Amino acid sequence: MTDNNYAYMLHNIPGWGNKTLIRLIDEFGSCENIYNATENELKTKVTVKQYEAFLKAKKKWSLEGEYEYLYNRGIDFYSYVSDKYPKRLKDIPDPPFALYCMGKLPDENRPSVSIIGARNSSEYGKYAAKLFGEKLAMSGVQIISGMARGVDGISQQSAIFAGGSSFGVLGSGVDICYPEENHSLYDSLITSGGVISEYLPGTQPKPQYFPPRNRIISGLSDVVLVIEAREKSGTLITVDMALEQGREVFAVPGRICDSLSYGCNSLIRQGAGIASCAEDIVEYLRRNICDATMKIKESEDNNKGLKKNIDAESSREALLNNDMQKCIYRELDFYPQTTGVIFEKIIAQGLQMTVSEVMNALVELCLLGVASQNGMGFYKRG
Amino acid sequence: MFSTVVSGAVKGIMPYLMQVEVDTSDGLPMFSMVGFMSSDVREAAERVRVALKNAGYPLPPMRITVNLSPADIRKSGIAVDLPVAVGILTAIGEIEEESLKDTIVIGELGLDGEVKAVSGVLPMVSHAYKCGYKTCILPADNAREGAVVQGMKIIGVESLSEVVAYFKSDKEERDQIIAPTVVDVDALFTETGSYEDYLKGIDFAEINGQSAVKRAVEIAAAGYHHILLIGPPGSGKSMVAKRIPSIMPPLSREEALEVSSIYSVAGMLKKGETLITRRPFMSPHHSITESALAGGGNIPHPGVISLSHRGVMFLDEMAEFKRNTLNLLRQPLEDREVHIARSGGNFSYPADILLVGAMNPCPCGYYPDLNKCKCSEKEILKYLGRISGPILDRIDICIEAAKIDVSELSHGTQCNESSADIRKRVMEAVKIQQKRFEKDGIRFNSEMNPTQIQRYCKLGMKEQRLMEQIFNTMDLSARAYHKALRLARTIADLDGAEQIEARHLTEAACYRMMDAKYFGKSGLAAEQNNAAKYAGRGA
Repeated sequence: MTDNNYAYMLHNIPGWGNKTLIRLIDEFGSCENIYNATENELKTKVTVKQYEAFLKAKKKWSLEGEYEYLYNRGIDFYSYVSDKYPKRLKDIPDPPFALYCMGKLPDENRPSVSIIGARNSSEYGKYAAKLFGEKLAMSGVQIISGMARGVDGISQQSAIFAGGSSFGVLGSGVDICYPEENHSLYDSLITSGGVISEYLPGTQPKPQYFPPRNRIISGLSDVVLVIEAREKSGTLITVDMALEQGREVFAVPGRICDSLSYGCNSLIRQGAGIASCAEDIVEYLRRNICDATMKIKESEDNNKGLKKNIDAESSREALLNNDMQKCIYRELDFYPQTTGVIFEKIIAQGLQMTVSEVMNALVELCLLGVASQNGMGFYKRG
Repeated sequence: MFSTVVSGAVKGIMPYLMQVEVDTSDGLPMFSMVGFMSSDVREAAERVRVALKNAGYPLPPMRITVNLSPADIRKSGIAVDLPVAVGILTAIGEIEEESLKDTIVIGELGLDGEVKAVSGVLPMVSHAYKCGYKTCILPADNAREGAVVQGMKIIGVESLSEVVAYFKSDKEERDQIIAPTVVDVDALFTETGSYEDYLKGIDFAEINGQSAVKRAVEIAAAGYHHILLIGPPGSGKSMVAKRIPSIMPPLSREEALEVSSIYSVAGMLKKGETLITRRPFMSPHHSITESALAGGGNIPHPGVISLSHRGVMFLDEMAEFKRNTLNLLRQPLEDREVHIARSGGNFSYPADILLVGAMNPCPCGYYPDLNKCKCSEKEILKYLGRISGPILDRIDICIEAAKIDVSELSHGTQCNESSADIRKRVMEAVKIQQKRFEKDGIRFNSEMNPTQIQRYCKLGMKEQRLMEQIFNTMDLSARAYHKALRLARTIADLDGAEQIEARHLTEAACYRMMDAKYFGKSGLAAEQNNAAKYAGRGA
């Protein structure tokens, strides 16, 4: 029996919150000591109600059986005092007393970056999430995020596709996949990274669970990268926590007229780093975070990285077969436009084209994989 | 004395001849009507008694029995006043039975003896004509409607005394008493001015921009493909829909007769109107009930879907319709008629409609403009999900209407194509289809079944490969395959091309992609996975 058996029992006592447990651990040193503490010792530290709950739980709880049942479900348990508990989390204010994990915990010897952003992101946001997730993963960076819809999910999915590892911090028990449509991501996170939560397995997602889990997202990472956020956004809560924890914040700049870019642009105004390409972040990690134990692949020149994004654009243009396709490709944007709008733009340029010709070209672009369609309208595929 | 007068009636929209038999015999004075009738028809007795008295023919103190034959059809919602009155007058010897030969009498009476208009005249008169009747006494207000049936002598009457005077006169002199009503049906269809007149105010030339939507409705009109317009509020979806009848070919004579018959039964022909020569355009509000849409009542009254027969039924705010109401459309869209079963019998009403739907892309209407739209993905999917899969399956074209720029509005009338120009192309394509389907019993590309698709939508090697590529890349369903081919056929017909070419296929795919993305099973979530998949490809 290890200290974890006791820790798991303590974490299950109703009414014993995170703050109580962390305080007790500071005083008693280990969970076993708390468990075996005398009545007088413990009564001075907790309220009467909490003590009663403790006694009740102590009677019913099977230290070995319950822990084994947890283990058999493939869920690992790490308490604040266990030696595998992430070092990064030990530094933050209000650290979680325990972590439940399916898969692995983030590697202490590799840099990690959290990519967070709006759930209903624009095509531009999706493009950026994909780009940064993929490029950072290829540099050996672990991607931490919340497995939510939009930016979170896309960045994690692309990190895994690029062969990297990614970790999802949930606002529910680790055995519950929320949102449901991300179940394939959930499965691949378990194999190529991990799913982490401070909540008991079986806990259903509730709105009040999400802001606290954000401190774990930022706590587990060295850098927080914000991709798209509105003026009032849950993403900005994570940023506040990151700053409180002393993490560096980067933001992807957006257009000044898009409400989804408001959060990022105002972060930049307040002094956040500008993430114009993945190399910006890799460079920061290499200079400030990585040392002899923590390695990162040699990064390229920042300017080169920035230029690469633009070069990729022109290489896509080289795929195009004829002038008509080129004309229409130039009118495409990250923001979806309807066929009618694209047609009007072409006409406004004085080019002679019929609606059917524009439609033909658009479908051809989709077939080439340089454009795409979502719901309403076509957009450029990055 | 005994007499028989022939009248017409309709059951649903099926006309039949009704014998009104009257017998007067000695006994206690009374007036009884028999013959399986509802209470509203029975009320005719009172009206007839008073109308006869006021016209100067008081009922004799005799036992009068009226029978409406055939007795196995329930008579409801029909007017029998005038034939009963004429029957009584014949029975008491006021009119000679001989003068009623080959004549049918239709009409309702007012208490003062006035003859009032009834509904369903057109189908009744044309049925009577087929049964060999030569003359028809009709309310004056219905005379022009009945006169559409060429070869039938139509006598429009205004009062009971006119009818009596007509029957009492010599056969040769009758036409001088009341001149038969004559309508030149050919003129109705050749009066070019009237059709163009009707188009004034609903011409496509008035719509600036929206070229893609215009193109889509042109294809829809040419191949009778049901179409769904998706766009934010104020993008002119309704404006476009209203103008669709103006680019469809004018009604043919047979079609006009069909449509007019339905409107006649529904009592929706205006006073003095002869034939409906314009394509119907019905736009029911989304609060419509199921029976109002499909037809309802003990003997069903034609519903909106039948009133749109050979025309356009426009469902604005389609997602706001009740799910059950929308699902009612499944069978009519497939069979092109509505079958309604009642305890009194089964009724089939024609319902060959072009369905035009319009809806917003999300509850707030502005998706994917994320500056305005705050709807969550779940809300959007729920909203779109209100249109059930089977209905969506029957819609061949999905097109997005963009919000119109102020600059486009202020340009005034640019040199937009007029409806007449578009109609010309549509009619060419319709002609090609008619020729192609001569032996198949269908009229439009949208009606092709899989066998016919195989026969008429042959693809070359190159096109076949393209089609496969489109389907793999865009992740379309097998069902969408047939729809895209039908659509490509129409596009090729508009183009005047014998063979379906690559450019027709890609354009057809363009209309199909919309609903694959919008209504695809996993919807936006699939999109997200797709995005990540492409990222993987880059690595």
